[in-house]
Amino acid sequence: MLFNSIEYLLFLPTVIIIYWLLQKRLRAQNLFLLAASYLFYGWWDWRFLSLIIISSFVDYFVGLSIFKSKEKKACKRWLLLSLFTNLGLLAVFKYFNFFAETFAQSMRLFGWHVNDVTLNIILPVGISFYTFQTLSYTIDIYRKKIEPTKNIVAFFTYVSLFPQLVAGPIERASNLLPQVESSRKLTLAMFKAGLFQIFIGLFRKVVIADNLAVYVDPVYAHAELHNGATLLLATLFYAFQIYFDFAGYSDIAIGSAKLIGFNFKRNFNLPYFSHNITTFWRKWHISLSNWLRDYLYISLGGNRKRIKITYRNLIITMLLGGLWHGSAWNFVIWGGIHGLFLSLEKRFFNLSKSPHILGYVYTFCVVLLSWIFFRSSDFSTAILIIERIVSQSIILPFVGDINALITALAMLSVGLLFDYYLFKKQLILEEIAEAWNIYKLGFIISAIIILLELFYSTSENFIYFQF
Amino acid sequence: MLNVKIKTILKTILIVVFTTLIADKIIYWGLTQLSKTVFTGQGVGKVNHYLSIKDELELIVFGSSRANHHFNVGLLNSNGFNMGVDGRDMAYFNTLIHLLPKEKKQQVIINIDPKNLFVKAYSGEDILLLKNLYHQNEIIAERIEQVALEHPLQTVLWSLDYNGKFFSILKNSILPAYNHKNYSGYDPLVLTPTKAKIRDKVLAKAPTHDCTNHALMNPLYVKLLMETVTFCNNNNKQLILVTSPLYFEQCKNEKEQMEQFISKNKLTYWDYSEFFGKESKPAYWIDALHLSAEGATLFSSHLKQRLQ
Repeated sequence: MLFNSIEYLLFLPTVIIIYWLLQKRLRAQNLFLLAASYLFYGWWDWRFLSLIIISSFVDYFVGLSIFKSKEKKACKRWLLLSLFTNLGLLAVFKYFNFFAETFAQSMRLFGWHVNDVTLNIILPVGISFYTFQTLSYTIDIYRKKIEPTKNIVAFFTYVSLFPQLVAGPIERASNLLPQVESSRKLTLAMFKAGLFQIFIGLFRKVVIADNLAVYVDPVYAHAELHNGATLLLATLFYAFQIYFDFAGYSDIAIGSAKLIGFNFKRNFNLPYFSHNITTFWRKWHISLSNWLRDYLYISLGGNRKRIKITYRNLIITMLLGGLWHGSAWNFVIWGGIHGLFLSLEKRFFNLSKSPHILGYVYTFCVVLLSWIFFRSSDFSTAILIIERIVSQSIILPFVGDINALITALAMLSVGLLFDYYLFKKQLILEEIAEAWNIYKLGFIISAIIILLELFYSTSENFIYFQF
Repeated sequence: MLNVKIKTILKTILIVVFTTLIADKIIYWGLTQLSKTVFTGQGVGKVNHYLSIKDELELIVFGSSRANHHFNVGLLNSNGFNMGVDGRDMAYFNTLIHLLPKEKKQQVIINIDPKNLFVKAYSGEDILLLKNLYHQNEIIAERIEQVALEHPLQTVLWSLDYNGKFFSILKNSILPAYNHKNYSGYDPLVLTPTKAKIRDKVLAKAPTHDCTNHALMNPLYVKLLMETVTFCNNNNKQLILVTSPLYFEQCKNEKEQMEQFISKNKLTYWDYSEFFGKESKPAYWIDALHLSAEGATLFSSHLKQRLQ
């Protein structure tokens, strides 16, 4: 079920009403939430519910077993079972074809002909997100940061909670599980903030991101036909499309969670207002970057060893972070660019220095360069786009449907001005509506609905569903 | 305490609902008034222009961009109008034809390409380009509902009718691109040296249309076409289906099936797809699908004789 669908418009209020009617019966409330979450996921393809159930079962029992084990070796064995199961599912469903093709290509380089053994596998939506979520649970128990829950319903509900199930935010057990295990309350502040954030998220997704996609998609689909100026404009648009698409999704997720009494952590914090790449990663897809930092970068040794090891760790973390997004070399290169610049900044930048306008420009340019690899269908297309942008940007870009372009530009301006307002006033989107009176909130939401009516554009999916 | 909270939540929801419904109707009313003044532009303006003159016309040409750029109606009939618009298809023509006056004798030409009949995915989406008239015209509303493509909230939120049309209405209302009173709906494509270079590249490439997997006619397309035929037969309209010139040959199997369909239903069909062909002067073409102004004039002159 998509957040921007009519189905969700009916699903969410129905769930909220029944859910709050069960307020005094926690177990029944959680069971209902679990059933609703499975319905939400099964709407897309019920067959893949089995993967979530397998992953939940394994991690529930592994968590308890690690906690009960007294020997370090036994704990490690249980952890390995969790890693093997979760990463195994990910490897089969997401990376099998990628590794098989890469292996066959590498063999050909040495003159050995190996037939491609690829499988016709559908990528289960959300697998990268819930896999990381359940992994963090067992790793945290192994590291003795949290204790496992004995409440199986609560654990299954934590893993599959519908607002965050298919594209995050990747919620840690330390934040979400205690909320699932105790009774929730809906405060007026949460209701106001949640409602506002859902509508802001919808605006960002269906008005800004989807209108930008109208220009970006056809240009990137036939990059070879377009001049440098067109490709530069499409790349600029894509930078904002992916931001508003994913931040919009996160807003709807966080807002929906608030309406059922859950507090999720922030996932985006105005990332394009960053004066270096290090800061960018503290503001972009925060739940993933924190996950990579805590479970990968720190596991590799973080910055506790020699400086060269720190650079290596940064680059490995970002390369794997890139691979997490998709099974293609483009994503690895995208991660590599970020890893490289993170390392360079550690070596040459004084990161504690106050921000400078050139810092913002530098960060945006690096991020823009990396998006070219992220969006292109293959490596050679990305190189072609870069070559054309460098050599022929001072000409007029392709306009296409002028009406669609004006709409995209106008709505992008509205979105950017709103973000700039938040940045300048140091406001937090998640909290901004809490203090508003109900009339102000009502009028603002109505204005957003009118904008949605007049300017929504249709798109198949959220970009991050494919990861 | 709980009651106060529930009351506040319900009050907020009511405020949102009432404010939205009121604002929606005000915006709808404002945009409707504004759009009524628009007679230029391929979206809202051209339809308004058509609606304002349709009862007086003797000849109307329907079709996509190929119709728009190929049929010089000024040559065909001094009281004609070219209603060809880029991206439009059978659901759109069908609806506009149903708006024609019932008694008046009129000639209706539909530029039809056989390959369009075989598009498996065609679902009549082009009818939504008339959605701004959903609450103003019963026939349009009925036909949009018939293909079940109305927005589920459109009956409540009227401003949805103007989704994606706001800036074009605003622009054409303030700055009309041409004087619609002198406009016949025909837009000639003028060949420039740059366009000629691009054309040469395009024409050198083989056609990308796959001829092997299009054996079945789209049932919705056929249904809409037959509805149009029935309307024309019953309302004093002479319907002529025309395939205007194409640079590349059509798919043989599609062409044959269409010809069988035409003869079975006793329709009038004029096939001009090979009127120029590959051996023709390059100056007649803008690309493989579209004629230049020179090509369109030659084609229209020939068509004029046949129509007479």
